Amino acid sequence: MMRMIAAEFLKLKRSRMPMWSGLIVLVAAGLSLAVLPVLADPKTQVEIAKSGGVFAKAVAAGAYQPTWTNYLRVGLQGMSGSWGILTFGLVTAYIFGREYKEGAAKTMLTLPIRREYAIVAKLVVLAVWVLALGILSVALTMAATAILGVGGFSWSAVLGNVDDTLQATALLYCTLPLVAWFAVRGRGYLQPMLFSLGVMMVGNALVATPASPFVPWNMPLHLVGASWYPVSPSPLVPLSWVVAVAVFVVGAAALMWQIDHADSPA
Amino acid sequence: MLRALKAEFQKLKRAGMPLWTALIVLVAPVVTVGMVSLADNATVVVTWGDFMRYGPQLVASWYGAVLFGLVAAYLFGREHGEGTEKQMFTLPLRREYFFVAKMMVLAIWVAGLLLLSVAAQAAYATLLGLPGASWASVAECVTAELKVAVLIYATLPWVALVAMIGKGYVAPLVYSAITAALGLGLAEAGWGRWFPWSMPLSVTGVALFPSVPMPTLVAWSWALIALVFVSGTAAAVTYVDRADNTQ
Repeated sequence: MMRMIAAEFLKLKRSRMPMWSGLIVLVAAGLSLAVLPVLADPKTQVEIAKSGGVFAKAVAAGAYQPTWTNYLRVGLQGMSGSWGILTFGLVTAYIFGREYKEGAAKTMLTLPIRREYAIVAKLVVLAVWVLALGILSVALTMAATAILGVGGFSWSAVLGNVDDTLQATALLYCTLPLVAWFAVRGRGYLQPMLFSLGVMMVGNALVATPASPFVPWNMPLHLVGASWYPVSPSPLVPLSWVVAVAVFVVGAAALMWQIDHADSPA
Repeated sequence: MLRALKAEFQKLKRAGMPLWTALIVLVAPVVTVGMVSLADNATVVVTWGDFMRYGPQLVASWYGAVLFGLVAAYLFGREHGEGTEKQMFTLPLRREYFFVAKMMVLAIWVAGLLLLSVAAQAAYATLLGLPGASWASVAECVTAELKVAVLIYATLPWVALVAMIGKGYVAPLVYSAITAALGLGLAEAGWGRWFPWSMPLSVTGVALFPSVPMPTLVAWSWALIALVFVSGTAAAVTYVDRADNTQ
């Protein structure tokens, strides 16, 4: 098992994907903050408040003011509700789909080693990769906020954001075995990417609904809120984590079944 | 040329991709449903026309660049992925024909998704029972979506080039994701008029309810986007002409 994990990491040795995925995070995390100065404009806030309800409440609560807490939160919201789902989906599609696209599936599927080992090893690599991207996102958001000269820095806000980032990353990770299943089923990258794009939109549609804390693709947004609706952060309930783990287990089981029954392509 | 075009359409005969991309477009309006459901009904009445205005918004800021980029990646990357590149490069036909044929298929595909998105947006608005349905709102939505689609389509020759150089789907997908993020960020920063990948957001405003208006496009913006299309096409054609058959 350890040799399989080492092999999976070695496969990334000359791969540019870790660098490219880091670049996506750099662009997305850094530039997503550009929205706050726009929203901080009093004229914009008046327009937003006109819709009443949660919009007026968000303006009154100072959710659009350029502060460290708001910047960190907006950065994390971008990961939780948009680019995180797509980028983590792309990384998953790459790890599981490249065996087919690079002609290595026939080797992987015919080695005298349990196929489940390859899946577990890939899931371990995926966990390390998405965790690194999550941490990178926090670091880049902090750097961008500091460069913009935003006031009100506090370590408690940073630590709170790191905690939320870890939770959001864990929740998104729980959904990735299903993306991997699409990659193995579709023998490539397109199906898992389309699936990721679809669930990103469905997840966003369920914000502030009773289903919000129980739909895995919406849970990160439920936890950290979404400035573009706006929706305030809300705590998850224990059942949310049970559902997230159940989705992971079902996805992993489907993935194992798929790989166990897969034929070696020519 | 026409035979190359016909061949490109025939390649899609048993492909699942048109169906999958259509499914994404059909699902997309649920984002608008979620968004308008948050508005306080006592303060603001969301009309059928308001809902329709969010159709182009969805394409511009949520899925257009990534989905259309994925379609371009599929059309231009599958020749290598499915092992048909060697036939394409060795047929006694001008290689430009294939590029032009693929770009035409891409244009029709994007236009089809666009029409479907208008229909889906209208269907959701009707199902929600929103007041004020009118053909004028549909026309406004179609006009805005056309502008958004043209602006995104003009950037797709570069995705095609990346797909051909990268010989597959990963490179164009990464490229599309980066340009989508860059486009959104720079539009929010107010550069939508001058950065081609942000221009669709100048048409629709940045995704919020209500949308935050962005600087409108000027004649130079259209000249810039035309330059992006022409340079991307020229680069892709040059690459295709000089590419070696490596399979």
